[in-house]
Amino acid sequence: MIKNERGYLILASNTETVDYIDCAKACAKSIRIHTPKAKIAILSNVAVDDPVFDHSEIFPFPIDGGFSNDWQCYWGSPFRQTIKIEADMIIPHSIDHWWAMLEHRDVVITTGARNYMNQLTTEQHYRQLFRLNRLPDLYNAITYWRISQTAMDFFSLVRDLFNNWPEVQKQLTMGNTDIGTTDVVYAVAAKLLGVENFTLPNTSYPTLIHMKERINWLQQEDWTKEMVWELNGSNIRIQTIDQQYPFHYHIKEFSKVLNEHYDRELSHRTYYGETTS
Amino acid sequence: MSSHGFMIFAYNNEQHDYLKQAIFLADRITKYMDLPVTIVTNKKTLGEQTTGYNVIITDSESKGSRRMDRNKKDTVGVWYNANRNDAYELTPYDETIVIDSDVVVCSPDLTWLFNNNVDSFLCYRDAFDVTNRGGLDGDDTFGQFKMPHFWATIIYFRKDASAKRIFENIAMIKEYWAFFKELYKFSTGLYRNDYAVSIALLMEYGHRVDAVPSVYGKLFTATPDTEIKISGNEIVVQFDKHENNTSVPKEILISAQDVHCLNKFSLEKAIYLNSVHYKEELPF
Repeated sequence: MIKNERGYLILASNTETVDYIDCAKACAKSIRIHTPKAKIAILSNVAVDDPVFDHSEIFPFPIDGGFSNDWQCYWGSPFRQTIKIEADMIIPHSIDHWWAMLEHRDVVITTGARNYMNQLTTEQHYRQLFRLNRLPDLYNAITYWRISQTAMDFFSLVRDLFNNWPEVQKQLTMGNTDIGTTDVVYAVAAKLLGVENFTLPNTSYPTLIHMKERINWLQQEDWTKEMVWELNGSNIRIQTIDQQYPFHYHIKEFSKVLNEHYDRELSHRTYYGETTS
Repeated sequence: MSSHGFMIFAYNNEQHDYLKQAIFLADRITKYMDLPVTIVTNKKTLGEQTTGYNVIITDSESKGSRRMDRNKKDTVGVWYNANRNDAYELTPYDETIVIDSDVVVCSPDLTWLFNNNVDSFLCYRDAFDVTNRGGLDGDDTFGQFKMPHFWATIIYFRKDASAKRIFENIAMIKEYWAFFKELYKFSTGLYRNDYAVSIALLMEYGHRVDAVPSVYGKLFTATPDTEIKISGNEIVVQFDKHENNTSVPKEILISAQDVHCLNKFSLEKAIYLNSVHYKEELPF
């Protein structure tokens, strides 16, 4: 059911090893600091009772665990226009101005990723399958859609691809190396339906910073142990560089540090921006 | 109208006569731009010489020695490069270009930097290997995390609060060099003006890489393995190029283009030959 015109939707279902709901809370709090009146919803397998979320939604269809439920976000979103954000991300600076451009399209999926220097990365290590199959360099981590036939067709196809992944795999070069990850499924779906309908490749957003090892010249997977990071308000600086775009921190345990920090930041104000002290 | 001028820092060491390079450069600045030049040096370097230019005598600290020809062991010299941050206080001009003595000026191009009315501090973001062999690939960043490398070879600054802050930050970075080395994870322990300027610029512009302004274009650079010859406003650069597993000698002619010559031995030889053979081309 549509509850608001626009809003941010965070998908989060805990697994045995990862507390994605904790990540989602950190993500929502990072938005609250700079955009206190934003509408934020969580879509999960359980009801989440936390005032940082305006809405707690439960997957509308039966779920089978893992990210193969992503397709349900279209039907589970309480917004007419949605920006979906992956749980292990934060939004250091307001992206509210994005709506003005995105609202002209039915679906926009992030194309390309950036390194901690805010520069578009050319690192292809994680994208061999994309390159070999000439798939668009898409990141589902930030996806916009409005209720439309295009969006419904897209997410229906995403569902079908997830549900028939063993068959889809056979059609892809190196397909056996991918277990049906959302980025690949989105890219296949976009290619089948026409990439031009789902991307804005010549714009500077939507975009995201990805903290994966190879993209940032790291010697280990965990950037939090190798790089110097500073939190200040909603901002995060890495190696002194201000992170200007949505920040995919990728190391899930970092959500605990973030939540602690944001709780301190938000403790002297309500979620609607008025200071209480 | 604000005053404009060039500053050249020149401290001789065991290997190089930087003062001679500075005077050669000052002559060319006069020829192509007719702007005043101040040479910053020390008593030991200047000795009894007269330069014909405004001279400021001040000592420079050294942050270490280095091999002046990276391929030859016996070319170690003390590197007196650590007082560039004094330029702000030392300059007699409102707008100054601090230029390394190993730049061969062949054009009036640098005058474009004066009166820009926008930026207080500018240097090159990119350098270009004039032999087109990619000899400077990898030098566009420094440290493990690829911080952007700005070139302190030519620095324009205007005397204002922003430039003052940048120079103060350069001094601070120099003082806490070990900390910044650890932070940005670069391998050299030797103080580098380029790195200090790069870090100070990032500080001034809010640690936003794309926000830092720079000189338009690229710093044309002849790498250390080249030989140069200078005639008027033309520079011949000789080099070896590897083709089909063999080393082929090549040369290119660069005309009316300023070039940063990293092989100082070759530069000094060219200066000597220039003074002998081409003196008639200079108007003094």
